[in-house]
Amino acid sequence: MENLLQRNPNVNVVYSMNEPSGRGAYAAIKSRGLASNITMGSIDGGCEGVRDVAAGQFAVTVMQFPRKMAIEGVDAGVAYAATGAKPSGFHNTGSAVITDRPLAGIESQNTTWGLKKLLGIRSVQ
Amino acid sequence: MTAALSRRTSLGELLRRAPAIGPALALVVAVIVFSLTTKTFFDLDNMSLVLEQSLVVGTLALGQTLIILTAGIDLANGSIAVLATLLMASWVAAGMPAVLALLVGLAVATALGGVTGGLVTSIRLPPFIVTLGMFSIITALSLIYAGGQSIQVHSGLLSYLGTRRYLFGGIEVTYGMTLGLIMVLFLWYVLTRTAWGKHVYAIGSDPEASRLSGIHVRRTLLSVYLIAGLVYGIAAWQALGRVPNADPNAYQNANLESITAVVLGGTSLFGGRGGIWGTLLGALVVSVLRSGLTQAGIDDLYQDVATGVLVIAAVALDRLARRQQR
Repeated sequence: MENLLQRNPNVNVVYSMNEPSGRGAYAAIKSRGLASNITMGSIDGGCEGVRDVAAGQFAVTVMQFPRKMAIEGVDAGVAYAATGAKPSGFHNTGSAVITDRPLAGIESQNTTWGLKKLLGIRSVQ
Repeated sequence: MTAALSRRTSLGELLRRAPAIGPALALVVAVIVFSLTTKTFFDLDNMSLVLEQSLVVGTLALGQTLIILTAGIDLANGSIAVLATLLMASWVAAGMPAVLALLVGLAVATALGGVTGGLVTSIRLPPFIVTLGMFSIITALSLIYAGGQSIQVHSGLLSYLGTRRYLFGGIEVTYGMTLGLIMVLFLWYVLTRTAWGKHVYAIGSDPEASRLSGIHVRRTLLSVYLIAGLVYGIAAWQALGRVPNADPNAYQNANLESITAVVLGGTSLFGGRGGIWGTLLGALVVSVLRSGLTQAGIDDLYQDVATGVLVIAAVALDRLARRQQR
């Protein structure tokens, strides 16, 4: 990120494929004094990530639901063992846009909702 | 002896006497090439950035240099530093005074270096195996300790090395860079101007001859691993200065990257030859390549290709120098 900003500091949006790399990008943006010019978005919906949205570092993150994925996966395994039926097609376990700055026309949830949904070994500190 | 032969001998001689010449040349060439081919590379802010970017792996590589000089290798250095960042960050978050957290964190890193050193010297296991095991154990312990989560750092002292800066001749200098330079000077001094340093080189060249000439081989080796551990602890402090966030998944390849810096710096993996200045140059070469190639718009993966080619070239030069020694 530091090298990309050196090449071109006129950036207004940064999207990271996961929250840890987003935090690194944010550190680079902040140390260059560009935090107020750049809107950051990420993917994961991990505990730290939702807190980062609440704190304003990220404008938005997209939460996925690994617990639901695990439950459906185990159910599919049990069904296969019992009846031999294999799962088929696309199973959507859902995702939710987490932001405290909602836009009209885009369904989203605020960080209070997001913090309640968190799964983790250590819950919200 | 023909003229051609004597010239080849003198090239080998030169490489043996000043192994840092190779990386110094590579660094100068890289800086010139990127300055000419990109608009943004040659710029004081970017020079400062390149220095900052080399700090964490560079510091790890200083400890790695000490160990490689004794013909050892350390695959656990990055994991020790990561564990130290997590310990320091979590202790401060739990209310411990930052100074205490820093000092105890450094002590833990030193002790972990000591564990490696103890296994290498007492049970005489190969350093590669010991540190491969330590790498695995410490990485897992870090993940268990942190519960897979990262810990944000709000302490001014823990992020001090990266956040406080001053101007030196137009270049922004962080306290981390200053500390890095002090470490290089200190290690250079003890390696080249003290009996301990001579012993380190001697052990790397021939441990049996060192023992027969009265060097306490085990004690010196143990001290090398302890000092390296302390250096890794300082690398952890540098890391928190770079990004004020202790992440158990960070710096996963830092062990190999530190070996890359050492090897590019002309220090021989067979021990006994090389030095601290070469490692500094080696770390800078990697940093300049990453920065320059990114600004030239070249894919990340080709940066790894370039680094790999340089490593093989550096070891080939080392071989050449050794062969001509016989």
